[in-house]
Amino acid sequence: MASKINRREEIKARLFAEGKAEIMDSSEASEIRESINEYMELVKREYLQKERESQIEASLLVLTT
Amino acid sequence: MSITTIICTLPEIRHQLIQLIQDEFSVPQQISEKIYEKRLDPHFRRFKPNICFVIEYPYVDRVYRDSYYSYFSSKLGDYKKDCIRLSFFSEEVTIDKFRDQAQFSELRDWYLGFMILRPTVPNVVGRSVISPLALTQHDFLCVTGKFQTTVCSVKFEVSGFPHSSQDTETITCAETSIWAVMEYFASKYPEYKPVLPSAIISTLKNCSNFRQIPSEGLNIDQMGYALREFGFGTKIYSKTKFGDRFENLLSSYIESGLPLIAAISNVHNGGTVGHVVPVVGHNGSTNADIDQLQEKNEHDAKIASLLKQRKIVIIDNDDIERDFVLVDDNHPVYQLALLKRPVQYYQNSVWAGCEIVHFLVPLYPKIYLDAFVAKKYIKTFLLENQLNIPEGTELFCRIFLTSSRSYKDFLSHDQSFNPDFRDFILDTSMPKFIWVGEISSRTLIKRKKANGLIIIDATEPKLTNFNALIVSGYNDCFYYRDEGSKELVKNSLSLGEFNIYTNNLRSF
Repeated sequence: MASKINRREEIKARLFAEGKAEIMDSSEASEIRESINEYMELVKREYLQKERESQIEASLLVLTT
Repeated sequence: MSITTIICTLPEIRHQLIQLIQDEFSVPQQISEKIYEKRLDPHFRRFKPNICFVIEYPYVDRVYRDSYYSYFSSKLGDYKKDCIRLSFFSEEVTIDKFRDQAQFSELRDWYLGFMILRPTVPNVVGRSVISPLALTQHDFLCVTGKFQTTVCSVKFEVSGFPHSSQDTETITCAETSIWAVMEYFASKYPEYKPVLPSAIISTLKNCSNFRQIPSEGLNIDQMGYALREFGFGTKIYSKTKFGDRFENLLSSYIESGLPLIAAISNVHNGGTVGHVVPVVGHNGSTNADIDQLQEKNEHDAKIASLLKQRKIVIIDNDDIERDFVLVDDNHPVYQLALLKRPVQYYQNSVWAGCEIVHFLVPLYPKIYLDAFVAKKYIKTFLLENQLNIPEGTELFCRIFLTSSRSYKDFLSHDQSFNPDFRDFILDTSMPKFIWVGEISSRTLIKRKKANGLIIIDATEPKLTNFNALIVSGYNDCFYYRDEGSKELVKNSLSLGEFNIYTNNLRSF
């Protein structure tokens, strides 16, 4: 007989049923999410800048030895 | 034309090779002796004393033949086209063993690799793959590929990282590094193919304005171009731009089991050296390394402020000061050196003041999230209030890239995880590559255990709204992003202690 298994969904349902799962939609959780969002945008820009400058600088080094 | 085989021991190899180089490469005895002392003996000196050599000649080597037909044959000089092949065994072998099928299994257990000697005097060491097990000192961790070859017509396989010296005319350090990295990836993944020197030159034709051979070296731009053409999404990091995070980032890619290409130079210190080497591993972590590891000054204002506010200390596995494994084409394979002193094994003042100034990462093209951003994301996620990490906790963080297939395979074998947490992760759909952050402590990590985990999607560069978060957990709760509400879901579940992932370098 065929059996259909999705343990992930079973675990999610069980934890909710047991009151062990909660959706983090409080205002405090939103603030944290916004704070991470803003920071990661800055990190991404910082990285792109550094990477582009790395490319420019590295293009000047000749590797012969 | 017939093939001659010589079988000899380590003490006999000098005499045999000096004679053979003299005869086969048509060089005077004095030069042959010099070649042995300067170019070959440094390799064999590092071998275990009981290594047995099988020498076969003439040997047709595909890499040297490519250089021969694309370059050396166009010169007036009498360049030979045949090579000599040396094969290494851990025990004494006889020719009869190669003709007795019952002995093949034992011979294969003893096989430790090969080295081609090409007639490019004095730079005779050509394509080689030597198992670290052939060396007296082999207690380092490095990436290795599996390479098939034959000895006395019998098929063998060796695990190692490809190595060759530069012939200085068709291949310099830059081409050798590209060749070695491509040989490695081709041995591991069907997406990649090995490349010959002429293919590297031909690929670079489109971005070269000047004559290409004899090679005058490449610049990093050209190396990046060639790697991209060969199928990688190459990233570059420069020391002056990434500052005190530069070595940390290099280490995290090595921890991810990726061979990197490091550019070494002293031009900025008034020297003339511009060199490049693959970096393929590092020494294992000892308890002393873990005890001595200090928290690094955090220059990132946001992370520094969170650390202070939460009174949490993060020590990073990638800040451990240890020897890394370099495959330098001017030296025998698997050199060990600190990242701060990458040419410490050179005995020449020309190399004084050399530092790693850039490194290239040959990434799978669909890995869109780099180490710099991924590490900051994982640390911020840890420090924001969600994971309930108590104030005053010292965390040991280990962050690396791996394939979700390998990680799930590890999980499916490992019984140390909470069964629900394990099943939850195994049944979560994942991209081909993931960044994994293992959260541990000094005490736990010495037992190769962790009590926290963050997995993020390496194909998702957009890190807002927990888009890239796959799962995270620490101590007694874990989180995932709910597909419907797009909000985080917190789950109370005791994760306990679980084994760390060591498949990238096969140990920690």
